Amino acid sequence: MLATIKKLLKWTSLPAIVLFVLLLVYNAVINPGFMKQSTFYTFLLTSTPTLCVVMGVFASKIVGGIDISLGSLLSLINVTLAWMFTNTDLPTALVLAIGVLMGMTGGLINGISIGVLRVNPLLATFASSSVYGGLALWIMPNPGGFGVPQSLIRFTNRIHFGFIPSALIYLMIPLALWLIYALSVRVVAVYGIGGNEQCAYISGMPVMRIKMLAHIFGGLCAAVGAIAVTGLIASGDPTIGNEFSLKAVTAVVIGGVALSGGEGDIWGALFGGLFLTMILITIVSSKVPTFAQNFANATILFVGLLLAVLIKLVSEYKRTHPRKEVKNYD
Amino acid sequence: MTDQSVQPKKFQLRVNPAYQRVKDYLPAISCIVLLGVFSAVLIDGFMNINNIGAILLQASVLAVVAMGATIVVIAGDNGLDLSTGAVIIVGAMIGPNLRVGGRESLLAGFLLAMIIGAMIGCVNGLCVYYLKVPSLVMTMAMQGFVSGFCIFLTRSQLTVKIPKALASMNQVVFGPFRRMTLLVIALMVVLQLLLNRSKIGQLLLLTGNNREAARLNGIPVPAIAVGAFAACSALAAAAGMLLVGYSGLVHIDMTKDYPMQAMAAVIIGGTKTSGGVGSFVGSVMGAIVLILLNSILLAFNMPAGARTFIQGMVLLVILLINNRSAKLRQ
Repeated sequence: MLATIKKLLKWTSLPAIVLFVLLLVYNAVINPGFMKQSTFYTFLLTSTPTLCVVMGVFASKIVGGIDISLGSLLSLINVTLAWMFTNTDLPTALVLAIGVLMGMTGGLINGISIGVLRVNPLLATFASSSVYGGLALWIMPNPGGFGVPQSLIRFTNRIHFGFIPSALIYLMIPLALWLIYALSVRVVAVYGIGGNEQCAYISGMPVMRIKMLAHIFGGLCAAVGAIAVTGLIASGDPTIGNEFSLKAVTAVVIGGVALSGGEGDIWGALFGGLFLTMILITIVSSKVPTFAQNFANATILFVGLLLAVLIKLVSEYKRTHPRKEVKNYD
Repeated sequence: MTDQSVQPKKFQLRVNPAYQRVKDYLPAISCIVLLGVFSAVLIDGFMNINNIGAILLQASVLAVVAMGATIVVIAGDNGLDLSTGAVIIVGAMIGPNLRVGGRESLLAGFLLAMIIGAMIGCVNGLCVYYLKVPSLVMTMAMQGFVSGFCIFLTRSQLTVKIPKALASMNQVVFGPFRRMTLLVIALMVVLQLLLNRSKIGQLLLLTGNNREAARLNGIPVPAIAVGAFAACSALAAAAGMLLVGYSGLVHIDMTKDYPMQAMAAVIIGGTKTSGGVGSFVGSVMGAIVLILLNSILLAFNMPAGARTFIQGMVLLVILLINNRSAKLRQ
């Protein structure tokens, strides 16, 4: 029992979960109507796109890279889906399949420039984010494309069997993929590359392939998020994903994933993402005036970030400086 | 001495020293030449002195921000500063509105803006160095915090009274050179000389090259790492003053692209993201490339999306040419 608690305290995801629970409790106290099932479902649905991008960024971060192009990729797919629904007669399933394919292609392009051509991940994905974001703006300069089929909109807002919202299904696609992968032995290579690329290469791990896989997975996450967004807003918006990328990076850092990679797990990243979306709700429900909302949002984020980092530093210090056992020789 | 005759000949690659010196500038120089020829041939009246002067003027604000970003990148440890956008606003808010003894004083305005900028940069640097927050996330949180605070203070209606001395920075001195352009060129020369010839510049380069080695050699690494962020933000605040002189008005949304644009200029200028190598001249040339490209695309009446797309592609190509890391197999 004590060992379990000790292990729990060392868990890298703990700060994110604590921060999320703190905001949850605060909301439940000041807003009595908050703890309803429907509120929870709406919250989950609106945070689904962010959480999808968070999972994608998590995958790229765990192999020691970073991906700040996923938000733009999400916008691009969202816009393309809306355009295809409005201007072509293709069946819904085919259009969605094209969207997923686009996401994976976008991820593959990132993967090739980072894994094969060895460009700095941050800069490579910055460049590709201008490419994807520019394409999205080119296809649809203003929000529009209102021909999204009713079936997709209704599916996105539906709650199956009375307790499984569609948002959960969207989230489960990348999450399940990752968890299945994490069960296999191969995940050691993923964490190994994040820990020390050179050592991983010398140990015979397929560094190039795994980096590419991680980015393709990121593209897939963006595609799933884009489908959720399309169902949610029932149209296309070329700038909707712009703020997701950097938000997701913050979420992943709050979630305890190491800067250099090779440490942390997906639950921390997810709770980091939930914490960020929860901040927005908190600000609205505490009736902060409009001109102070940005400031309040940034302040909570700042404090949360510093808290998460401090907790991590302390636990790291304890690990590297273990308390010496006092031996009594008398 | 007889010793010298016995010494074996050192193996040396036969590379022209002049080529070695300009190698890092090649992408930027060739981009400027290519774009210049291209625009002179295809666009009527693009290459007249007035237009060149306008492009240089526009580039000079970005160039100052880019030079600041260069310091952070050279200092190493994958440093970068995304908070410059907000710091520009702070500089633009404080500097021009300062009155000393009831009179406008440009020098005092610059000084105060730069001091406050440096303080913001110090917070960035301290958190990045001591708390080990990734610089990307830290400076992004700072950007949100500072710009949120500006909106909170000004109720999102920022009014700036432009001092006469600042407005006169747009006056033509000779040829295409305006006062502001000459000021920025002078700043560039001073900073480049400081980097190459002074002790502090050498310490910065050594720290960026290898932090651990620098620490073991008694170089005050913390001071330099934090100071780099402070210098970067101070330059960004000064750029805010210049922006007021150049555009005559300031809006919070106006500067949100600056951090990433500055980063792009730094990379085009041949500064290595691994730290320890770089130059201010290159960054200024990078800024000119970006502004030149943008104004050529504007002259062709390209939509905003297409402009972003082409900029991203150009950046990706330049990254592939001059910013690839070493092979894993060595």
